[in-house]
Amino acid sequence: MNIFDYLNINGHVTVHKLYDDGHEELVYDDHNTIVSGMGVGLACLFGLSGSTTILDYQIDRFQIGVSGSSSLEVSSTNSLSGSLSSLSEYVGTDGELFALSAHQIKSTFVGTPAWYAAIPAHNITRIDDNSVRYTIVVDKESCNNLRSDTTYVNEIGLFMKNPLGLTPIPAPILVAYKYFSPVRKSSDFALVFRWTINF
Amino acid sequence: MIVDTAGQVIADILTLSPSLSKIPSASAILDTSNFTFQAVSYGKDVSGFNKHAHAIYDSNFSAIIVRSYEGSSVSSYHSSAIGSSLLAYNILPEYPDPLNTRLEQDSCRTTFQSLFSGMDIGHCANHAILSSFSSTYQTLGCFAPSSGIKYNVLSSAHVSGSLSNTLFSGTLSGAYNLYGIMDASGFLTFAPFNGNQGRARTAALQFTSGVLINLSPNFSSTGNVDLVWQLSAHDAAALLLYGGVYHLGLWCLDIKEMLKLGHKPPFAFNPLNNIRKYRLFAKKTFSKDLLYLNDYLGQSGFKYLLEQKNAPYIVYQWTIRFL
Repeated sequence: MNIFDYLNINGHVTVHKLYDDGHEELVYDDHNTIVSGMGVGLACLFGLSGSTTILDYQIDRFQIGVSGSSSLEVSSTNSLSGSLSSLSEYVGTDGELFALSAHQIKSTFVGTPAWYAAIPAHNITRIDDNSVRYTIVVDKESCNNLRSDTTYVNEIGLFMKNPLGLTPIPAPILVAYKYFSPVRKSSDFALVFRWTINF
Repeated sequence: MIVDTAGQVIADILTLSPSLSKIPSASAILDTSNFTFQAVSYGKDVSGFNKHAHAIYDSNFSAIIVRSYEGSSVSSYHSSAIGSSLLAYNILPEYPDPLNTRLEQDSCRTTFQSLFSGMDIGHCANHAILSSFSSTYQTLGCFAPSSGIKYNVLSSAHVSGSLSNTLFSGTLSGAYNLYGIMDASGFLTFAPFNGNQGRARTAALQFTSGVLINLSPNFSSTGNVDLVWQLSAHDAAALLLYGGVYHLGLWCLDIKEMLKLGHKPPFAFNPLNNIRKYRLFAKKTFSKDLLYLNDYLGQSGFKYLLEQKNAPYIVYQWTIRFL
């Protein structure tokens, strides 16, 4: 048994559309998949083989993608199937997401640069002794400028910041993945993901 | 078993404020060593803290005195022999539970010796380190002082002021106290080396700095973190006389508790006055004494342990799997 079996590490995601009048519409509500990257990151930490600052082991960013699949909800998944690939796709012209570019650890190699969006520290909340909630708000103007009019967002992943401590460009690693019902993002609503991980 | 407090350690890591990095006096909290493995401890059944060598104290002798229940021909000491001889003694250690925060939850204070009750920390303490205390305090166990302490294994009930019915005896000198790597509370500290340095030192059998993290060359694919440490023959013999080893505990630092007490990082290890507070990460419980030694072909297992010239120690390896 590994540490995940003992601790029964699991997570849960809800996806809401949030409209201007404050009305929320539940789009999706399901468990998530903790992927092997979480184990890689924690092994680097407890094996003293990675970064020496604890901030590098925090989950501080996410990716959204457009070609997710339930078949990717397995522990061996190390990347989104079709993550947004440009600053423009994440924030468009008026979006409020803070987009970041960094490398990405995939399997045993550090891949090419990819785009992420930051999770503000104030949206990372301790729910109880063993649970952490990440509230991800994709505001009205973000993620609208996708590659075609028929493209829907349908996958999301959480990333640990930089477990190997690489410089000057960090290399995040995927730690949790979720495929959800496709949503055509528009400026009519914000998307709110409430993602709770229990350790 | 990985216990629930391990999950709390991980949740602590994930929710630590990044703003601390901008505060010079607080940024040291962000060092990973504050959150990684920092100690190992040995434990046994809770009743054992009032049995074995804990049960006999003679002010005439500053010695570890223990009674064997196996007859006059025996030349080793088995904790299980007491368990089977004393019907009221349930030698089984506590069954592990994810909610455990120490190795034994009930009081592990030694009450048999009315003058010296010892510490109640749920596992084997290291009273012998406190040389400023009287030498009788050192007989509370469960390790030997570096300067040495005599032991006597008796064949029958102890008669005050006499050790005439001694089966075998000798002197034990503890390595943990010699190297200053275990505090009074019985926490064996980790060596200040990373995984690759730990591998080199493990290969060279250099265990005098504490527990080593020994990363194998294929660590990146297995995700296994191997923890390796040494128990010297004399420390093993002392543990044996005090009732053996039925638990192992793996501990991280309890940062919140230390900050609450006014301590600031770096939280340096000091065996004589250790400010470190620990939080249980994992425990391993055994139904048979890890130090059980059989006599073989007329040779004493106990003496064999003490007299091995080439490898006078036991090496433990504990693997934590992350993948």
